[in-house]
Amino acid sequence: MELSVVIETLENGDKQKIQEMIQESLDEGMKAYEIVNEKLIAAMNDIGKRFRENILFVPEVLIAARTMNSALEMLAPYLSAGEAISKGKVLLGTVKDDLHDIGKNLVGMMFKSGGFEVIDIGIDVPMEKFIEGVKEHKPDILAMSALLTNTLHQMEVVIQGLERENLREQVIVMVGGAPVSEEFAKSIGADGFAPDAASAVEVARKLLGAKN
Amino acid sequence: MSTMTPRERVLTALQLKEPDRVPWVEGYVHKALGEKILGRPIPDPPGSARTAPEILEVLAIDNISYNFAPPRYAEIEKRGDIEIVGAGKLKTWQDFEECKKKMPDPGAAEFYKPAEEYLKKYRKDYAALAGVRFGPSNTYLSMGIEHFSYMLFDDPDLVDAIMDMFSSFSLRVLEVIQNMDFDVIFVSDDLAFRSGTFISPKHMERFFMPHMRKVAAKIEKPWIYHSCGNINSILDELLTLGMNGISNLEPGPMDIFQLKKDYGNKVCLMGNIDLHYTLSKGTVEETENEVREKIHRVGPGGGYIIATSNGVAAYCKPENIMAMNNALLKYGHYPL
Repeated sequence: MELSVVIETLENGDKQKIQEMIQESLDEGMKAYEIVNEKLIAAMNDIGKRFRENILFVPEVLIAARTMNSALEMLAPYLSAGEAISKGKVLLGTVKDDLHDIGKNLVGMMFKSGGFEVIDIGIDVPMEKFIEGVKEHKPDILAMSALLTNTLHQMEVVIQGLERENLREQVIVMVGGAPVSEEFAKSIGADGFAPDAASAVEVARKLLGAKN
Repeated sequence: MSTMTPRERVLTALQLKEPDRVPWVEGYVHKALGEKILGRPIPDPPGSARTAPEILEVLAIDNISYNFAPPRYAEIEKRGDIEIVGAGKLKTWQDFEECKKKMPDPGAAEFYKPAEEYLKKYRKDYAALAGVRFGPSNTYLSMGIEHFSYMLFDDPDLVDAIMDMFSSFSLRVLEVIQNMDFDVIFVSDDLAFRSGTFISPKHMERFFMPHMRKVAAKIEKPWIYHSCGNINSILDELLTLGMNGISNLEPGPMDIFQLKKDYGNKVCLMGNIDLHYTLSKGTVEETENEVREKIHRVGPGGGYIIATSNGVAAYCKPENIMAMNNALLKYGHYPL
């Protein structure tokens, strides 16, 4: 199972071929978690990198992520409990009064493809719902999205809410969306900012690495 | 230089010449902001006009505009002036057949009646813009951008059929409106995020450009093309469509000073006054400085139309829009 072939197969969205390749590797004795970590996630990292570089575009990434998900589903029964592949848990939503979901969904798919568990709580999410989500799911990362300049301040409202509830230290807060900048992220006390969906996964890995 | 009418001012800038002052063109002024500026309630803009005529009493905007965009088959929630496009409803061939039946008839005389009445009442000597679409934004918004993305691979024929439905609509509309009293055709179709285009150059050429070329070839009046986001990588290809002006040059991804150097003698540049920060969060002083700098660096020689980076949105500070207005009148007269 050559990494370059895995990359090409994901990019072409060829579900049948990726499943055949996985079956072959399993038959040859390769462990399911090795296939996930060394082949599939590695392939998506490459695709994410080329997306950041504007070599690949949203449709190619969506197709690759969809194919990746079908591969993960196929591998799920082969993974024992001790081999949980989750790289971390992400709670994801678009802030209150903002109904945009393209960026958020793409971030969710990139996280999933990077081996993260993703809980998507939707669009137009008020502060209270983010807080409830953090309490209920205990995510490693809370990721907030906004597209509208006039909804950006909601990110700060959520961070303040986390502080009031003494939850701020428990969770890494990441923010993103067209009008969000690194400076803005810092100014509201977020831990991380990413200019695009693929970078979000990279930033999350770094932040988790620094925390653990 | 003697004073020009707003119409002459805009058309002169689109011909890459110097008018009496830098013109100001906006696709829309949101009503809520208009009311804050005027300090009184105003009625909704008539028909498919997107700027209430009352606002032109106080802002030096040089145009009126009327919209002939085809519908978007998606969940649309209206929050004040802002329409938020949610989930697409056009997913399958069956949906497509139903949508085709629901499309307004651009061959029917009554389709144009409200626009005729609007022109009769508000035309005056403004530059009258007619808004149309090439088709891409109606296609991906009606399908939902994720489903659209999958269908580029899974069912390209469906994407073609939907693109064709919307671009054919615009072709028919153009036949009629170019015989009406409009001065400028304004084609708005977002093709990019801030990071880059939505789809690859290969897909652009395969799915969008043939329809865009067809519609562009039909345009006989001066015209302006609008996209949000970072269109640097496709700008040369877009310019082959032959537009006279390009807008609204989103600050950040689009460097208007560099564009002036590289394209200033080919196409009129419009927009770039920053909505993300200056007009929505900045101060009056910052607004005045940005307007003055852009007038002085992009205005010389003509070929610059001042505008916000999208439209005069409800979330702008009214005092900053007034500052933009005042700075234009203070610094925008030629010779600069």
